[in-house]
Parts: sequence; structure tokens; C-alpha cells
Amino acid sequence: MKAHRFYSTPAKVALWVIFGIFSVYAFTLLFPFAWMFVNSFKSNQEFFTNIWALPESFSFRNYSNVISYNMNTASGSFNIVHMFLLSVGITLAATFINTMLSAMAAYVIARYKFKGRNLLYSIALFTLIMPIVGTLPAQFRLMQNLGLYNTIFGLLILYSGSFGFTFFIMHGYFKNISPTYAEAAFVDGASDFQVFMKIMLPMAKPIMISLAIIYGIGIWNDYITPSIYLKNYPTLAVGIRYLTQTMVSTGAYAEMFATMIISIVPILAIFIAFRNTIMENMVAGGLKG
Amino acid sequence: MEKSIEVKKKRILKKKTKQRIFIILMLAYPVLQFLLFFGYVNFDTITLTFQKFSWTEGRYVYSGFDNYIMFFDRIFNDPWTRRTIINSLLYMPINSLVILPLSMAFSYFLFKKVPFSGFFRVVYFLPSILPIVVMTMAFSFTFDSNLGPVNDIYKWFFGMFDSNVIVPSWFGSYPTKQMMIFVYGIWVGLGFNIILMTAAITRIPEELMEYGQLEGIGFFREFTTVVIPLIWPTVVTTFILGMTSVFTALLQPLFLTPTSGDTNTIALAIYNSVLQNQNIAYMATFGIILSIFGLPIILLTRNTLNKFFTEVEY
Repeated sequence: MKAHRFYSTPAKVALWVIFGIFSVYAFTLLFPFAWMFVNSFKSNQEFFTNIWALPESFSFRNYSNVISYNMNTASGSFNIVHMFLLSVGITLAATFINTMLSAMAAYVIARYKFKGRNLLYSIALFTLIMPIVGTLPAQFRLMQNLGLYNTIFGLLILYSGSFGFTFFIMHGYFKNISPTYAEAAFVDGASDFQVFMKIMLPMAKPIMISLAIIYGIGIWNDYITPSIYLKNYPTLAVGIRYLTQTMVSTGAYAEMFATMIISIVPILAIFIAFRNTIMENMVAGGLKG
Repeated sequence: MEKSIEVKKKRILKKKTKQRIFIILMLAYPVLQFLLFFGYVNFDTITLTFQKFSWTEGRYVYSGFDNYIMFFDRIFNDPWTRRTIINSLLYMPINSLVILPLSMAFSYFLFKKVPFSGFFRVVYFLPSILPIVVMTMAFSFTFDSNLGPVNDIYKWFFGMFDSNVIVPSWFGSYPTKQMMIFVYGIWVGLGFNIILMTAAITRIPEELMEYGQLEGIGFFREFTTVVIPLIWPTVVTTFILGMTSVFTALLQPLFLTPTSGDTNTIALAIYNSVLQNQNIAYMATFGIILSIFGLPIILLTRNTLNKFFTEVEY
């Protein structure tokens, strides 16, 4: 859509009406956050007096106060900094493991002929489109029996499923790259492993990074899995809910707004930094299923 | 001569073995993880439906069809179970019949370069990247009955017609709060689906769009005769995702109406039982029976929808 189109007058009017509708929707998405942002600099007193006024003076007191709120679990006391660091660690580890394993499985299934490879692909596809409800209890029982319940290690194992969205995109990618590079390397005496590590992975790096960012955002935001399997170690997504509920129950609204703003800043920063990659690949090709 | 063939054969054999080892090593973990967390878990779900937890023995024991009998008993006699299922079913029309068509129209006009469409695309991305905890908090606080900004706007607007205007308690009683959950669903789901649809529309080759424009067709005809058939696979997938939300909707009622039982959904009921480690065998049965009813319907819908337009490769 590079070339400019020349629209007729009724079409132009229609486009402006639609522009109006679009603006209203965009406003509703931005407004709550803008409003919380402004109120996060007020004192609680100021907020209660007038929820619309601008803060009398910009103070970061609410932001520094957030640290004094703790979530107590059987394993200790966690403030927002602990939660943040835990989320960073889990997100980085889970994303790295998942992306690597998905790429490994995708590469072998796409490039090698062996018995059962079509079966593996079909099963993976089947699991992606089949919603089977009610397996959570059995998964919970399995995690308990394996001694993985309430451990970070267990959570990482749950996240390491390698036949998801990343697998399918990588499978398509490896299927389509020209075999000449690999053949040349094999002639030179490279092993299968070397070809994968030294030729295929570097070639696939850009797409793997895009997929990793998208997967990483999902892990960072995930609430359900850690809230069940990592009860004693709150990640940011889980902890934020606890902290903001505590603040609401004590009437500390201004601090609650500060907490919400803190929790969205990292994700917004990542989004702004990588917005083109993210926007292009979020649903690579429009989810053609 | 013969010797060199022997050597070659040996070399090929050695290469084959090496390749086999490589394949096994690369796939070992992914396949094992899958067998355990998909294969075994599904198998054990079936086992679990024939068990119950025995407090005297401290373990799960065989209980025959008790869970199944309990399910059908509750369907007929327990209003809570019925409410849970009805609430869940309502997510389907909201997602597939309200949000999906709306987001298709939005995406089409984003693509047609409404002024500032680049800006809108970025803003509409917010629901896809922000944590749902934060999105729901922002939403419910905006409608907070004491301090939320919507109250003031509501009072100002309706105050023009009625000086004794009373702001409804948005998350107060049942039908209203269930409706608010759906309003939230539309608010967030619209942005989410616009991203999916826009990705599909951008993939349409320009020549195909230009062909219609040369014919001088208007927005509506271009949308219905060119765009929809070309993005049909994405539309079907999104429609089906909307149907499966009947089984997956969980965080919206959990976060928006935390203390309320009457906005319960199937997935939330299962989640809560696991979280409290209570009645998980019964809840596994609950899920399985609903899957048995739901899956054929979903598959049938998918196959029927796929027949609407023949798939075009482009």
C-alpha cells in the first residue's frame, strides 16, 4: 500500500466517519492508563479530593513506597523487586529453552526423513487445534507425583513443550531454506550437529529472535500456570494482583496506580524497541490454520 | 574394486548410524516432554474420572461411574452447575458473532489507510501485550462505583436529562456484572482480533485488490467479494477460537468479579478446584464430558465453514 489512492467524495466522508469510530476506541484503550499515570503522582488525599485534577507537584513517593509492600508465602516475603527479578529469570530461561527445543524438533522433522516424522507433525497439529478441557487436574496430579509442584524447575519443564506455535513457524522456515548450504558443509566433512549449530541456527537467528520475543511476552504475562504451580514464589504477573488488592483494601489508591504503571513499563519498553518485529510476526501470516 | 565398494558401504552405514543418533538426540527431550505432559496427562485424565480421593487411605481409589452420575445429577438438579455452563456458552456468540465481524471491518479500514492508521495499529496492539491482570484492573477501576472516572462521565451525561441520576453498580448484581465481563471481552478482544485480521489482510497481493479497484467497486463490495474470501482461513480459525473460548474463558471472570460465584465458567471451576486441590477428579469428569459434547460441534463447524470458499493459494 505505498501508492496513494484517490477516493471519491462519499468514500472520503465514510473514511472520516470511520476515523471517528477508530479514535473513540483508541481513546478508551489509552485513557485508563493515562488517567492512572497522572494519578500515580498524586498523594492519596489529592486523589480523593478530585480524581480529575493534575497533581499539585510531581512526586515519585508512591513509586518508592511500592517497595514496602510484601507478599508473604511459605517460602518468605517478596516485594515487587523480588517479583520482577524472578519474572525476568523465568522468562529468559523459559524462552531460551522453548525456542531452542522447538527449533531442534522443527529442524529434524523438516529436514530429515525417518519413520514417524509425519505422525509427529500431525499429532502436533492436532494438539494445536483440539481444545481438551479437564486435563488440568491430571497435570496437577502428575506435577505433584514427580515432585515438581511448587518448584521453578517444574515450571520450566511445563513451559518447555516444544510443539507449539514456535515449532510450526520454524518448521515452515527450515522446510523452505535451500539445501545447498548444508550439502556443501557435509561434503567438507561437517557432522549433522555442526551443520545445525554453525549453519542453520545462525541463518534462523532473526526469525528465532522474533518468535522468542512473542513467546517471552506470553510467559511474562502468564498468570494461570505460576499461580497454580509456583504458589510460594510469586512472579510479577501473580504478585501484582496480590499487591494491588492489598493496596485497594487499605485505600492506598495512588500507590496502586504507581504499581500498575511499574508493571507495564518493561513490556511497553520491549514493545517500543521491537515493535516492527513484534507487529510483523505476532501472528505470522495471519494465523493460517 | 570390491574392496572400495565395501568401504563405501561401510561409510554410508556409519553415516546413517550417526544421522540416526543425531535425530534421536535432537528429538529425545521434545518427544518425552510431549508424551508425559500431553499423552500421559490425557490418559490419566480418563483414569481420574473413574476415581475419587479416599481420605481414609490418603490416595485415589476406583469409584466406577460415580463422577459421571454426579455430573448428570447436577446438570438436572444444581442451578450452580447450569449457570456455569450457560455463562460459558455465552462467550461463543460474543467472540464469534460480535467481536469477529467488528474486528474484520476495523481491519479492513485500517488497511484502507484511514487517517493515522499507523498510530491506531500500535494502540490496538496494547491488549495483546499487556498482562490481563493489568487490563482487567484498569477496566474495573474505570468503572469503580465510588472513584471510577466513568461515574462522573455518566452523571454528567445523563444528568442533562435527569437531575436525580443514579450510577448503576457495574459489578454489583448478576446480569449486569456478566454483561460487564462481556463488555470487557469486546474491549480487549477487538484489539486482539484486529491484529490477527490485519496480518491476514496485509498478505493479500496488491494486484488482487487493484483489480477490484479498476472495476470501480465500493468499500462494501470490495470487502465482501474480495477481502473476505481471501482471508477466509483466518476468519475460520478465529471463529473456532471464539467457540473454544467456551472451554477456556477463565481469567476475565476471575479478575473482574473475584468474589462472585455467579459469573463462574467451566474453566474457572476447574482452575479453582485445582488451586484448592478439591474435587479434582469430579472436575476432570466435568471437563471431559463437556469436551465429548463440544469437540464434534467444533469440528463440524470448522469443516462446514471451510467449505464456504475454496481455499486460494496466493
